[in-house]
Amino acid sequence: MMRLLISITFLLFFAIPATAAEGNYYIGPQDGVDLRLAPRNKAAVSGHLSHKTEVAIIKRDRNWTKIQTLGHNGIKGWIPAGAIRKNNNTKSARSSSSSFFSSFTSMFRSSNPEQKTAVLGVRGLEGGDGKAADSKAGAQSVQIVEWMDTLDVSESDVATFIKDGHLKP
Amino acid sequence: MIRTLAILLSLMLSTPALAFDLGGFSIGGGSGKGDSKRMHQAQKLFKLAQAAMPISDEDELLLGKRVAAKVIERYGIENAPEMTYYLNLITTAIAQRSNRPEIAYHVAILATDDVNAYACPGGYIFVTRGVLNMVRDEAELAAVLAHEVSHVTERHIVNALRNSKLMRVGSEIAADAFRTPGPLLDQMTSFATDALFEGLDKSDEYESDEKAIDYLDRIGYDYPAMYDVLKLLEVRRKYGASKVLDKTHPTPSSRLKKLKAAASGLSLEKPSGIRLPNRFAKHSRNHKKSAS
Repeated sequence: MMRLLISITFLLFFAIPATAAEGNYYIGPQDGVDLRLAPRNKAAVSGHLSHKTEVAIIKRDRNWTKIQTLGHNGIKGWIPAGAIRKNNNTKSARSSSSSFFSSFTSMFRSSNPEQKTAVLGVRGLEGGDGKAADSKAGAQSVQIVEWMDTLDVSESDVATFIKDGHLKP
Repeated sequence: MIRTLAILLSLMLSTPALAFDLGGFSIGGGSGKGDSKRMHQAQKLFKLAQAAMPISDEDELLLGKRVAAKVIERYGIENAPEMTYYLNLITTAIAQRSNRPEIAYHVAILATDDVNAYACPGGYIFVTRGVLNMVRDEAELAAVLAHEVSHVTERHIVNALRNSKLMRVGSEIAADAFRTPGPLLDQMTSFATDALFEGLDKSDEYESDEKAIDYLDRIGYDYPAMYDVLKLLEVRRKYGASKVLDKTHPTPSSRLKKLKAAASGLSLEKPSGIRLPNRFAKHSRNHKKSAS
């Protein structure tokens, strides 16, 4: 009886979180991609997904990803990981590189216009009232973290970067 | 005892995220060997219940922002936009193939010559100027970043927090702490910051090394670059030049030994040989020029 209870308890622990899937992706290549039954180039083709088909990621296996289409009756299968793009409407949509650099410049200018060195930080804020310096340092650090959130790189720049380095697309 | 387990089970069915605290609480009245074994099993169950308590991605991000602020407070950030952009490109490319591509990763350079890197919950990653001066090509730099990305993908700090005494307050109170920042969230931030500065569990570091070579292989970098980084760190350790890292990580030689043993079970492809020394040298030159 006790073994049974322990087994059920363990099952409950491990079964519940396994149902989550990652959404907000689509098929990137213009000519679409073949859907396969297994994560191998030689595996049987079970269908073809056209460009922009919305999918959810179920599982990843090295360079392959198991997906389920969000339309098309929820067809499941394996496609190469590189064929998936993140939907730009999601919160991690990337901005262009120009906004990255302008964000950088504006942060360093606005934060400490007098600063001639390469360091943006809180060292040197000591002196006078220690508590006030601590508080100022804390506030500035929080501001810098918020600024880090704007340091996005564009999807196309990442793709070019990968291509130029002959890395796996 | 069976009744206790039944109660535990029913509690889990009704409130799956409930945290159980055994501190000062005795189960059952028996004192035999069998009871002690059962009590040990029950304690393990309680521990599992605690570890299963969810910290949402949103909560993790909030915690990560607070921890990242502490890192910045300690070291300061370098004004090096081109090098920072380069680091963000490498990291994003790695993260896209990682086990957790859905969150945004952001990297900045810490203004210190210490050789170290930090990964805060939620995807905030920091690399020191010292690391940029140590590595010799892009693959070695990618190895450092892949190691940090894997601390985030495997939620090492979040898991350490979940297993900590702080979370024994119960899931509702813990969740409230994230919704209404106060002393408990401050304590959680301190815990996570200490974990970062004083070192994670050794097994987390070994796991991150292992994940790093897997990630490098997935994107096509020459994964033995990770071995070379560890060899570089070992040389620095021998000359006493990596005191901060020595305090927070297992020795590079032990990491290398563990990693090579683990690599044989990873079914990695043949090393690609892609090191990209010229691309790294170009960015490194520009970085040094702008800093001088």
